[in-house]
Amino acid sequence: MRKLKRGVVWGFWIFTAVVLLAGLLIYRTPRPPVAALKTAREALTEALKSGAEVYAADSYAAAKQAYDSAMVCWSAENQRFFLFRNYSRLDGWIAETIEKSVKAEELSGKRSASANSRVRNGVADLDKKVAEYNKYFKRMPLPAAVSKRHNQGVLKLSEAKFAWQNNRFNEAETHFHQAKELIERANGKAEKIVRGWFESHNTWQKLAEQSIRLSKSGQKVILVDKLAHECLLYQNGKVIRRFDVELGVNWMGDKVRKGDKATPEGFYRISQKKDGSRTRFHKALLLNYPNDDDRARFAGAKRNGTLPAKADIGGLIEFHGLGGKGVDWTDGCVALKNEDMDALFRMAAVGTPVIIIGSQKSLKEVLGKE
Amino acid sequence: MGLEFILKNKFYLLTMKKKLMIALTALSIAVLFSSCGKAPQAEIDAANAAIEVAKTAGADVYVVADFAALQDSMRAVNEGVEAQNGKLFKNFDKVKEQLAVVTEMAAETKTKAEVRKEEVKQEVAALQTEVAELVALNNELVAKAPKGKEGAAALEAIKGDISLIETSMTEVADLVLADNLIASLDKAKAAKEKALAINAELNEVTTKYAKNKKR
Repeated sequence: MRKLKRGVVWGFWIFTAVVLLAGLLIYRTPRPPVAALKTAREALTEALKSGAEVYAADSYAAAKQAYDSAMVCWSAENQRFFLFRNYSRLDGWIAETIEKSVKAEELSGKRSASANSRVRNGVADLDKKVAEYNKYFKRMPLPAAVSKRHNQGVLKLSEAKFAWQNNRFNEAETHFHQAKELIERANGKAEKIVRGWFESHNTWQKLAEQSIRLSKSGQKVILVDKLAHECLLYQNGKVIRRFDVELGVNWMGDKVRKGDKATPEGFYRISQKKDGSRTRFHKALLLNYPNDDDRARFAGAKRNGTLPAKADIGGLIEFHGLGGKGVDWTDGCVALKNEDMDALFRMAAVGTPVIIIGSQKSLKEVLGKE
Repeated sequence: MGLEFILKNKFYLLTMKKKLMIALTALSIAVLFSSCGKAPQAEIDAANAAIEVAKTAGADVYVVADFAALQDSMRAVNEGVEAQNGKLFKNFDKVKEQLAVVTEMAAETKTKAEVRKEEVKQEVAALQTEVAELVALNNELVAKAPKGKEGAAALEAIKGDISLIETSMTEVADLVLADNLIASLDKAKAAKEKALAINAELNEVTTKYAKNKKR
């Protein structure tokens, strides 16, 4: 009986010791950092929501990789006997996930804001360039390739705007760069052509001064400013009438030969007044094109081979009616609205000086830069 | 002596029987817990497959926020699975419930993506029709414009612009075929804007011609 009693006592103490030991072991068993991992996951999701996958792809991929590593690490620890588990590596991956997610989110925010601002400013700048093109170059007879490039640029610019409006700043920036290249190349080419044409500006200035000087004697002088598409009637050194005009299809540049659809530049006189059945353009004032200068230049061009031997200098350059179409459409003549033509016809006489120049304005005034 | 031996033997047999019973009970409990504590792999695979289906439907493009939430939910479930895997007595009931929710969420996200994609598709198709009509109208206006020297060059330039729009719309069709609907939408909108600008320009030019012709 005593033996049994002693056994029971021993059994009790052994059981208690085992329970206590088990309790202690369980108490000391490392717990997985569930809450910290949740925080890491939430940080990763926030980074994703901020667009980090797009704007901070590398940082986001690193954060995602750190999270995946944390999960693999946790799974590996779970394979071990619970008393031997160690979550210190998992803690490391969690810390890395949080750090990289926060970094990716910050970077994404900065980059998207920066792309947003770059595109917004860039688009505004390109809009100005498009307006510049429309203001200075659209009416100019530029090569088809230049206007095609400009229009392709305008289309790309619209694409950039639509992507930007939908907060797709990366795509917007890609479209913007394509648009920028196309628009700037078109503007650059157009500007080069205009600069080349403006090399005659000194001559134009002298001719304009001459027309004002001539008019000071009381006679009427007609000055055509091709770039402004204006016809100015001077008398006593002052402009007494101003008319809008339309010119030859290829009005930019001097007339070289028949069929080039250019409006000549130089000093001319009215050689004939035509109305009624003598003209099909309402009324007309024929100019003495080609003058001596034109003939000399034409002959020189033929001599040096710039023009073929069979080339014709052309003629029949006149002021005439049927203008007001809003486009340059003549073969080289200067077209006015019928009512304006009536007025000019009344005021001009055979022998009235007509001076046709590229522009009264300087290149700086025209392009806004030297 | 004989009685003592018999009694001792009986006591030994009884102890052995008890030990065997305890061992069997422990084994049964272990078997019971191990069978209850298996991760619901079939449900996990189903949820992952549903997410993949949503992604294939374009959820990551057309319903970005929903897809991000879906991915977050699946990650939370995976954390739940590991939390249970680490326990001695596993219970995946809650995980199973979460997996059912994620699978349902994936199906909803897929539907949302499909709806949004269809909307974009319809928008692009409507724009394609509108632009085609505008191009036809513009070509008609160009054809109606006076022939000969009057404005022929200006109209030629406009024809060039129209062909640029036609090229752009061919690119839109290619993007639609390649399932790149967002890019095709931007391009189609840009083409429409340009087509409208040309139309306004043409109307202005032809009106001026007509006005002039009446005189």
